[in-house]
Amino acid sequence: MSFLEDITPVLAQRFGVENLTAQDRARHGYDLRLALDQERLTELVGLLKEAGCYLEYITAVDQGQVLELLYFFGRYDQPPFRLQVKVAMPKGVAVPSLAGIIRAADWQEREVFDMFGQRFAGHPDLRRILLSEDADFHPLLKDFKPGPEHGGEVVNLERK
Amino acid sequence: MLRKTLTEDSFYLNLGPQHPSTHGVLHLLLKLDGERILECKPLVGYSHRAHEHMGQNRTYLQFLPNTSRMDYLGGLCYNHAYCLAVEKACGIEVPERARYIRTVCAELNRISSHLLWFGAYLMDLGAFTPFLYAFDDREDILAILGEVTGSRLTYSYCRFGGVNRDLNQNFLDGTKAFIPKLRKRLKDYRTLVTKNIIFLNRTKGIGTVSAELARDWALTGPNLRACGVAYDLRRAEPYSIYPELEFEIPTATAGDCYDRYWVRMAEMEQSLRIVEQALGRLPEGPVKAAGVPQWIQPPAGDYHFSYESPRGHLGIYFVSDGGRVPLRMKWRTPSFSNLSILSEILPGTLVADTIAILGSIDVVIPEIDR
Amino acid sequence: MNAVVRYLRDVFSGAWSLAMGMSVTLRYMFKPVSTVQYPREAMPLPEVYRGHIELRRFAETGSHGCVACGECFRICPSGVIKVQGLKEEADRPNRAVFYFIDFSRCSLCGLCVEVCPESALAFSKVYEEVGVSRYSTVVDLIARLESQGA
Repeated sequence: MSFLEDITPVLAQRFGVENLTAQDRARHGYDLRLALDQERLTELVGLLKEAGCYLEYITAVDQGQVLELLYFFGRYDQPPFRLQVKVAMPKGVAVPSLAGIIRAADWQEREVFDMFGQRFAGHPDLRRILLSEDADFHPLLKDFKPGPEHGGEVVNLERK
Repeated sequence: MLRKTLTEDSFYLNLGPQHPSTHGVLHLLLKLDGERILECKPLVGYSHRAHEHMGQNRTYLQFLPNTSRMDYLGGLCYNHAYCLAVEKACGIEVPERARYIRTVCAELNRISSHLLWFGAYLMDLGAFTPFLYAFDDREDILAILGEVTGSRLTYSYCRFGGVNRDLNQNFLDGTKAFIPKLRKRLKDYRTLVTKNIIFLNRTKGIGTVSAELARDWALTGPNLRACGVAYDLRRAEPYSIYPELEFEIPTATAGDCYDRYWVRMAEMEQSLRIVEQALGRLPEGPVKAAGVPQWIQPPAGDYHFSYESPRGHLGIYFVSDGGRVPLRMKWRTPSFSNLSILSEILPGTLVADTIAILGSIDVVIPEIDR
Repeated sequence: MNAVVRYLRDVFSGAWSLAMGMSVTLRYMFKPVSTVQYPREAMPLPEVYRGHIELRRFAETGSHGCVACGECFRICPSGVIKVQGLKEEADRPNRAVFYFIDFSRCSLCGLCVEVCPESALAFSKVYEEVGVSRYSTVVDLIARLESQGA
């Protein structure tokens, strides 16, 4: 019995079967997608940590008004298991930080903050990580237009 | 913020951003009590080059040269991973021969990466001689790979649907001569380094990481296998021709610096086995799939791909809106997670051990900063 | 007593490991040198070495074969190529009159060489290029080809 078969009914029961979508691993690279409300994030991550998962990475996708936060969880195990947790919310709303539960989340959340300006409530040290401390922009937001003031010349952007 | 907590006996030491043993522009802010470390804050980002942003502003093929610049030691592995990710999303079939060639080259690249790590690590610990031997061996690999890719570090060799160029006789002869040579050298390394009393005293029991701690900090790659977890993506989520090959996943138990060293040395032997097997079965045929469009357009959706890079779990995640340019291009680089554990394992150790631990984790700074 | 024995054994095995290591070093002392004294001797470059790009000279015409189609300009990830062509004869394809490239921003990926429909581009094997300012990295490849003589 694989871990995927074990965890699917648990997730469906606790977080709603309508929020859980099975994905084609051969094509998309992960098994499950769970759309989640941000209040229940810590509850889910506590459960996943108990179950032996590790946090692969956190990232975000800018969808206009909405910022989709994506958390990927995997396992050091065979057969492989990968869960994508999707938290979509309007920009500017803080989500609970996971750094207190899984410490790998510390740097991952700092990177998301750095690149997207997403705030994480309860993060111990939410500073910029890759960009310089005095940067006043979040470069992976879609309305960010790089210019000469960000260093260097920008070529090619009109050539899409 | 930090200054307020400063007492009379403790002080701060900036290790880096320019320090020979930080392997690039890494900055460690150490709070010391004499020789003992109380707190460590790794500061990264000095070589941030906005690769993710570039990935979102150019087409899939145009981003290919960038991939080998993230991790300059495993450039071919990164090329390979990126091509596999895009091919999987588009459903492109890769010819059999190209799959073998890619695997051979990626494994050679893995060996060269480990060799450089080996030399640099021993140099950090104060041993100069192994560095010269390791670079001599690595030079052979770079020359072999240069024969087919035309480049020594930033290969840009893989293409969507195959590879750029077929193997030539120089490559085959060079590799055949290189495998026994490195096997002999690995024996020498054992005598020279692995049994050396100074090396053992400096690495055994230093920087111990338990399997539980490793999971909490999302460690992957050799650092994780040194803690006793046999997790290798080449076996766990097999891609390319790895399911057809015989190799073992070396693991150790203690999770200290010595074990991390031992796992990498054992991995080189396994990589040699892989190269030998793959070259032995190298099929004939084309090296590039026909009909791959120049401006590739994966169907709308999101795609994840996991690859075992020399340093661990390399995750590529991209979101396509069906166009020529991805909507989002995310790279989960292994060193980023591996380095963050320093703030956990360094407190309580000595400054001299800091160098031993930092070196044993095998970080490549441009890969962290992207 | 036990502690003394263990201590002596540690000393002996440690000294032995150092002696064994030294024997490896000594053995290599008599092996041939593997370094090359660079400015005086150079390593042979591989056949497919990817230096910066240059226009190939075609024997039939004694000149370059660029038709200024702009494929290289479109595929270049860094946008460092600028090429302009001129229609000299009505029933013949265009002919490039200048081909500028900024080598300082070129990442030597080789996509332009691959994409060229006329195979007019090739990698050079020059890697010791020097200039006095960053403007000298912007080179007109056609002028360069002509200055190299027939």
